[in-house]
Amino acid sequence: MESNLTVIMPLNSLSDDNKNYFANAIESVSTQKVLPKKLFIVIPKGSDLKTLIESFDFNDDIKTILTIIENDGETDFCSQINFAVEKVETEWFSILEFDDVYSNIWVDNVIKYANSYSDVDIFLPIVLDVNTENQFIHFSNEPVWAKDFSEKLGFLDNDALLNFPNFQVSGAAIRTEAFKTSGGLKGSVKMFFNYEFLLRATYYDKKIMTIPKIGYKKVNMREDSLFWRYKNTEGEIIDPVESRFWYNTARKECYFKTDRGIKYETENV
Amino acid sequence: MDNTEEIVKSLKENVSKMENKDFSMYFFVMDTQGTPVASISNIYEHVKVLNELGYKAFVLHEKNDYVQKQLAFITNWLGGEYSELPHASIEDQSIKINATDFIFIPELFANIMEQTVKLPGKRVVLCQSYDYITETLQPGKGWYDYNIKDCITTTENQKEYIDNLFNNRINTRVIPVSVDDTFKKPSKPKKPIISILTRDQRDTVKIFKTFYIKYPHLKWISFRDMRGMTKDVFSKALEESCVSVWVDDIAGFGTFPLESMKCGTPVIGKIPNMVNGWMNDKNGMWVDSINVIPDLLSQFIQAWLEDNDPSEIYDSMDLTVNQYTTDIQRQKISEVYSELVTDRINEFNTTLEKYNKEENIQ
Repeated sequence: MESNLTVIMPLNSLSDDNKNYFANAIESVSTQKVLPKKLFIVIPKGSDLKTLIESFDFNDDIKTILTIIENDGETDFCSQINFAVEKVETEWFSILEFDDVYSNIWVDNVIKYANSYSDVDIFLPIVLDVNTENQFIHFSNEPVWAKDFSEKLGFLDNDALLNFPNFQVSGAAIRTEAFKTSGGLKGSVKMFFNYEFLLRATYYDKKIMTIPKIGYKKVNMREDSLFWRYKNTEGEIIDPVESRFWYNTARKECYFKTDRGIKYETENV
Repeated sequence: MDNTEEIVKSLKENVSKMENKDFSMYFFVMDTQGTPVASISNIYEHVKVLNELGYKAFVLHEKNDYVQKQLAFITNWLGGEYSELPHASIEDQSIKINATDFIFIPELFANIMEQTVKLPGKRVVLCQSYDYITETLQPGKGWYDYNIKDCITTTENQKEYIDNLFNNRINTRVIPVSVDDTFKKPSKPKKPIISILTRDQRDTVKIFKTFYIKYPHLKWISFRDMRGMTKDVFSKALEESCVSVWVDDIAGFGTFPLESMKCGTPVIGKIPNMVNGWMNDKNGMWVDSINVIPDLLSQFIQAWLEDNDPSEIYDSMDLTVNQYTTDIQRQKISEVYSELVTDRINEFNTTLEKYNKEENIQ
């Protein structure tokens, strides 16, 4: 069994404290029952990350599939992904954050479910959300399997998303073509870029299903992570009012395929 | 022609009729008012196979309106080939039971056993649930008191129980239930759904409420109460489910777990009062108390979500259910009913010999 999937890992920096996370993430790729076809690590052009990455003692499987891609454009999370997807040649891709891990069954299940549900464009994993102590907090992406959550058991639709925004895109297997034709991720929507993308995808009739298997483990609120900074870093803090603004923006912007670069202004709230 | 000659002639005709399958078999069924019952389904299966084997087998019901009401339901539940089987009604009084005919009476209906004592045909108890045997029997009475000497049941354990209960005065034969090809493994991966079937509905409620209280992070896992479904919907639901739960203390056979196994759906079940012969420590997760079922469910679901559920159970399920195919049941039906017919012919021949001897003596 062969996969037709590229893993994309965006990376802007890697402190000594976070090297373990990175190593674990890469190991979770190499221990897949079925290996992904490619592993892209996207870094800002000219950064010293390339040397750092090459200094890791990856096994042969990783060496075979790894490509380091240097991005000379914007280097926020969404731009890194959009940039990398343009380089993807496989039917599917999946985002792996450097502080998260796949479960070893994930790619194998993507293949199985893609064979059974050929019309699906995005397969979400059940995400195991843990804290930095690796303690279980909750699952994500699982509500679609609850009775009457959405129109069809196991599938995420636009109405369900309008009622319940908390879904995760990281770890998902996304059909490359569907991502491109939907317009990709919009960095301007701040912390609701996942939500906006899923709303847009469902609005444009992309089929989204959660594979009922634990496919991804996400570390929540790691120090210096994007959402941690939104909560703790002076100058980046997003208060509840702004948060509400971005939530509403996501719901309005999902009808547009291009990122219209909406800015937060208090008079817009 | 004196009376003896008439009797001899009649006996010879009976033997000839039986050898030519020119007699009827009536299988009494109760009107379940639309509720699917596995034992009724099994009776219909016997009737279907017997007709295919060239016998004249009828489903016998009490009231005429069974045809209007219950048959429509049988069509939905079991399919048109079952509702189109020959039916006969007691109420319309058109049935004439001959000495060559058979009446098969479910174990629950001791009153019917009593009411039919004087009928000339052979009566046989069809016992699918040992727990109902004494339900309507008068105190101190056994089936033999109603001149019934034969029984067909579905498991060796029930046969042993019947032998023991009636002090080996009933000749009991075993025809196992089959699980037909309506039940099959799904073409798509299974879903996080738990199929549950309990004899007492309060057990269903208790299990799923306990599960959700103890394991709130699994609240998104749906339970599906399997009561009252048509066979197609029932089998489809079992196919989709990743695990099933079964609680039936008085089960005689336990069709549901086998149907579940055939669908590739592992079963968490409470061991019934009479352990089913097919049950072993590898083909399911069998427990002594329903109180541990929610915990076991949580463990199984967790393993299933991680693709870590034990593969041995699936292999063992296949081995078990392969012993209950329609071909095996068909073969057994053919053998057992043929034996009953042979026994009846022998009875006629024995009587015939008696008359022949008397004639020779004279």
